[in-house]
Amino acid sequence: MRQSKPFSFLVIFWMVWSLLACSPRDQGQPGQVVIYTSVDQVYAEPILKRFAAETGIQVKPVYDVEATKTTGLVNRLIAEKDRPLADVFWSGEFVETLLLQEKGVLQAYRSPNATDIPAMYKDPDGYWTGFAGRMRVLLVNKNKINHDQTPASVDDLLDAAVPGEQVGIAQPLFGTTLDHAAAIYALRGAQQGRAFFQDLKQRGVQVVDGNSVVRDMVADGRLGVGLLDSDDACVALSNGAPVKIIIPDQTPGQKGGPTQGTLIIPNTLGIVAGAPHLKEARQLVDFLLRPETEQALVDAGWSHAPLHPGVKVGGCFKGIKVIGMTLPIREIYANLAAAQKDLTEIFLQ
Amino acid sequence: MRIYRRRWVERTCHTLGVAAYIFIVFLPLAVLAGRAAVWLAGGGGGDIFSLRRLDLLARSTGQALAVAAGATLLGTLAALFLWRLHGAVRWLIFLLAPLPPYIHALAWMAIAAAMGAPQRGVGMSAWVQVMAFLPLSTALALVGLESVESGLVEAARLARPDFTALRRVVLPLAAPAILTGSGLCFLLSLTDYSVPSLFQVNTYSLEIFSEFSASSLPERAFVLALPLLLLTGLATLLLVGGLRRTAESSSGRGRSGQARQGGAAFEWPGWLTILIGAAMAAWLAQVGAPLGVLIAQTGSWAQFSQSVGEARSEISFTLLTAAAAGLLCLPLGLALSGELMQKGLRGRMGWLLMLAPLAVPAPLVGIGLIAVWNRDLPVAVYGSAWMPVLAMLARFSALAALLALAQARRTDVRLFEAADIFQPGLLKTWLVVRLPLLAPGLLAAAGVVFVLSAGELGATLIVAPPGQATLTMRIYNYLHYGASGTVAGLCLSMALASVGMGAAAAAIFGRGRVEDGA
Repeated sequence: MRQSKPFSFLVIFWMVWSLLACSPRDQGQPGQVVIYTSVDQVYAEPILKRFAAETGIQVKPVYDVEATKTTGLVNRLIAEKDRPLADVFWSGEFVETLLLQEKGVLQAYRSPNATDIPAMYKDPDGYWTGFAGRMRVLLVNKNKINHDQTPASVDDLLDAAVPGEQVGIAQPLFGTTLDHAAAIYALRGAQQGRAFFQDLKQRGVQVVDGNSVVRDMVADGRLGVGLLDSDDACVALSNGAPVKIIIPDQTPGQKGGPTQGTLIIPNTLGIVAGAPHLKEARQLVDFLLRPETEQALVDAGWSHAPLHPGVKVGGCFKGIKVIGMTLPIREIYANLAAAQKDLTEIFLQ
Repeated sequence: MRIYRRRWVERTCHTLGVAAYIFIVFLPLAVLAGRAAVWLAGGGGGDIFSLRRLDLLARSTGQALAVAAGATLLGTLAALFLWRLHGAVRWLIFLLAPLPPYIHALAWMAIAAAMGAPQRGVGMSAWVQVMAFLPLSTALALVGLESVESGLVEAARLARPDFTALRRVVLPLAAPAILTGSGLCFLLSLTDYSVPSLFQVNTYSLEIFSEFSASSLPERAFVLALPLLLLTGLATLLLVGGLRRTAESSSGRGRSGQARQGGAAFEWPGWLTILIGAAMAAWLAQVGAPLGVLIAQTGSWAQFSQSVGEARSEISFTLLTAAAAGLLCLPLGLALSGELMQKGLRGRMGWLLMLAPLAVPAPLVGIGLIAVWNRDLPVAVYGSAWMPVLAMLARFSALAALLALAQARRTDVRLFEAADIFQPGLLKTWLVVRLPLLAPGLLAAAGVVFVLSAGELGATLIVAPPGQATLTMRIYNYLHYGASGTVAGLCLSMALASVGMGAAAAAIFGRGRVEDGA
């Protein structure tokens, strides 16, 4: 009887070994494409399945998660640079993609389906292309904030009408909140940008783990106002939470200044330098940059600021005309390092 | 001559095992350390440490010490209760051990919100970490208590009251495992940013992630993580000193064949009974809070089956890779446990080898693995399902060594010596005598590594093969989307999967007991 235990142990060992051996690396095989994406799986997966069904090309995705604080797939791509596994990188924002371009991880490709996308959302050398924009918005809990307290600008987050502890932002060291901070730096200069965030900190604004946490806290009334992405805000609205969405800075500023507009964050696409499946990668990029794909992303609730003319916005932003910041993406990116350094000193104490 | 030859073969196998451990666990870290050294030699690092960061490190260390103390106290008290029970059913309280701490945090946030209690601050963060690490501290305390030789306990109880026997004999003898649990809780707390971040508590590990995110230079992040390695080293020195004294004071342990005692006959004073009751109440909360919230959020059986159905491939991939890690960690752990038993510098190095990997942030382990394995090799490892297994081994093999050590110390070495003399072959000695005797500890090691591997995220994400993902990766992805019903269903399925594995292990474990006792 005693011999049965080690024997069973060895049989299990052998079975696991065999199963793992059935999963070899298949780099370079035709008819497949590997995509790394930081877009939520719930939005990206149906699109990729549609591509596979239309073309017969097998798609192998790797999805990022918010919990790794954007240190996941981007650093994996940099580490794999000399011998890449991925063919395409699809980011839900733009900073990661510009960083990859800077590190020499991407190669140029101008998709014929991107000709009508505005130039400010494309790299002039073709290393990346933007599409399917999201917006930074304010989510307001109607049970906590009166109509006359409702903010109309990100500057209203400093307004004493709403107590500081009722206001929430995601940790501004990472993700789209960092992008937004860099945009504010680009727009107002480093000194005023830093002052804005210092004031937020001094007001006792709640700095929480991520945009999804901001959304949940506003939705269940733990916060009155939150600054977050449009897709997060729409999820709260579609779940029936007592909230309303405000697109900030849509009117002229104080003292008749220009309309600032809100930050539009495009999804960005790039092909990895040395991609093992280049032909399929180009096909996938062309597919993702089709207006029909952008429309599908809008309909699914991921994008609310499409970049192709003719794509219709539905859902929680139906019929609303949005004024976006007119800052070039490259200029926002140029302010990123300074913003991140300041914000680390301000918020990570 | 036959014995000398056998010893030579055994020494060779042991050396190969330690070499494999160093290769799998330490090579990725060594690559990072090499890059960091080059970077520092090139003039980098001048701006890396500041007063703000050192202050953050000091406060993070304080928080981690508080969490370790809390988890150890509650874990030891709970283990005293479980020690009095018999049968594998008591291991069922480890039902939610595989749940990521983040899920515990979300459950406790929901409860705090419902009660109108504050949902941020160090207190809540520490409480949730204590709850998340309680299975680890309790399991190790229980292993420690069960390793105490019954003859010594009975002799003490004849001369002194039960509580004195507990204080003067049982706890000191169980101290190695209890202290190790405490050290592990300290390290896990120190390197975790997810729970503190959710409760708006800044930590040094978040600073490392911020640095890594900003620079995308693993060498910078590695240098920033060096204080954690230093703290680990310090903890190791203190721990090893304590463990050695305990080991020496209990010489002869493991020779009587009466290692398993059970505390059924003990009579505790009233105040201790109350404390044990409080610890068990905390345990009930540890299981009940997340389970209740998860069941409530899952909503219906249809939602649960839909969540599980959609995640079939992730569930099978998780079971496969975590099971592989659970099995493959055993030879590595067995080999390293031999080093942990050595005296002097070699023994201290063994402990450092064991504890240091736990102090390195998970994504850095993943980056190190890419540097080692993403190259032309005769066998295509990179990009295959082997990479997550290697990541899991790199992160958790140390725990297998620890549990193998605990088992080795409670096993009657005279049986090994008799087998060496009377069994004709080395392989047969191992298959018929040694493995069955070591089986309970090895199964526990496989179970712990399986559970932790199933919940691993940071390193697995960096090396997962395209097109395949673990259940934890899917859970975190859906967590961001806000699909609480789906997330709850997936978490429940993970808990059920671990119960299934635990039940299988318990069945073998229970049979092993009967055979050992026969």
